[in-house]
Amino acid sequence: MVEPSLIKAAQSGDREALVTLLREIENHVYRTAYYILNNEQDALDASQEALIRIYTKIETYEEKAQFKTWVQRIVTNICIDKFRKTKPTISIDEHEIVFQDKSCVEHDVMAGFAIDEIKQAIDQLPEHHRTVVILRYLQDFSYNEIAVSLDLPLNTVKSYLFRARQQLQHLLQDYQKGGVRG
Amino acid sequence: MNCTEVGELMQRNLDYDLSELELATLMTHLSDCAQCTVLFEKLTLLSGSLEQLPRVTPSISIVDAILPELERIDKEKSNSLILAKQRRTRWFTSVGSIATAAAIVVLMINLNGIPATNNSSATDLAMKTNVQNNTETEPAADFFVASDQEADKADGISESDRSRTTDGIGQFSSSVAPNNNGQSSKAGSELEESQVVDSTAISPTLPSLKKDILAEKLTGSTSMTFVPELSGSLTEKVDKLGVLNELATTIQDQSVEPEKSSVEQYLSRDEQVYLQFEEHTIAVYETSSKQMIREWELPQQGLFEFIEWDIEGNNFTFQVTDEAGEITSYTWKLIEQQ
Repeated sequence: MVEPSLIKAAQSGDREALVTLLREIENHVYRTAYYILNNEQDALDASQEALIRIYTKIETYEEKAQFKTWVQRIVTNICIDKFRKTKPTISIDEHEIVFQDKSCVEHDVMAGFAIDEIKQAIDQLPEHHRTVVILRYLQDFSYNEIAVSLDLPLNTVKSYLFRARQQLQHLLQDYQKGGVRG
Repeated sequence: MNCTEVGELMQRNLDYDLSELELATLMTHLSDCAQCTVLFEKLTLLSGSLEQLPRVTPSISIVDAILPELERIDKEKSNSLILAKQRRTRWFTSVGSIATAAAIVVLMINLNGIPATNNSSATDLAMKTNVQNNTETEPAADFFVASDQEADKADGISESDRSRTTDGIGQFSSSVAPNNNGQSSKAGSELEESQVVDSTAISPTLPSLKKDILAEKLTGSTSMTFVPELSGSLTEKVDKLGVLNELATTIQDQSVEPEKSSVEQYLSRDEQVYLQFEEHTIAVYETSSKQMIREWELPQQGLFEFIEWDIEGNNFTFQVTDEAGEITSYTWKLIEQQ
């Protein structure tokens, strides 16, 4: 939670406050970028771009919105643009190959599914479904906060989230079956 | 309640969105429906796993990584602000010819909305005399000062400003004198230093009106034609406007061919390209085609002085004097700079 006084100072031209503010949100920005793009380098690039945009556009932030949703809107927009540019459409077959290769290496199992399995499954979701899941689970956003961040109707957010969980459930179930077969 | 409706309750339950009543309804259904119970367990496991996804952090400080970029943005921003209020560009180069004659033209800018044109005419006269005298000297310098400016919308300069300007002229004249005799590059440096002071003192009082007049004259003419224009039409024009008083100095190498002697262009040693300082950029042009080959943003705000091309013509050196009087020297590669 960024202090409103820090935001005000940053908006009034206090450069030090603005840099401090960027440091406070840096991890949040990176985390979203990392899970949307599923790649450290791309996430660093997108995060840099997002922080620079925040730096240059801080005056445009209006207090009526939550600062964290404003920040996440910026980073998700950048990531989605980046994703569309850099990620060609991949066939399901190719996906499965990558999926299985990676899973053999990943043994960091949580209470449930392996981290890498989940990351790979999230990576297969349509971009908006994925973004909703990330804001819900990696930013702990409420339905409403997700709706504001992504500029989507509340019901659409719920619909995306519920459908995404079902898809993830199927993907992970398929993977487990594949793992047993393998 | 059917299984589809319960499905939504299950989902909302994962987001802690159920009222007590809704939760009770869900639990009641699950106790009777094995199929929904299996799905509920799977989704709960999934959601629990998602909640445990690592809160990754960047391997480096992203903010530290972008600090230089942020500084560049700040500089650009402040440059554009400063440029909007006040802009000065100045070039200096050594020509190094012994047998050449040169002219010193002093042009001092000093806006005066009210009378005072008598004083300025006197100044002009004195300056013209200087020009005559100096054509006999052999200075080793080609000098250009451009001051365009404004921002200060004052109707005219105050008495203190005017007297400061006058002081500037006196100071300037004294530094010109040794140059007549010595004409060494050291003398040129002294001249340059006093000129920096003059520009700094005067520029803030300049109105935008004369910026156009001066810029037009300075950029539009070659060195050869510059002198007559300056003592004739420019002064007249400014006098007519009643806002006059511009003082600048240029020591020109008259042996240079007119078409090559524009004060703005710095030919490389092989004459294949020339350099030009422009409003916000340093540009390199191909001499034959006059096509721009490349350009760079000015590295900082200040007074720009071209120093030299290297022998191969691959690098050029210039220096910038900032507001604080600090001089920074830059040597840039023609190719693969920045």
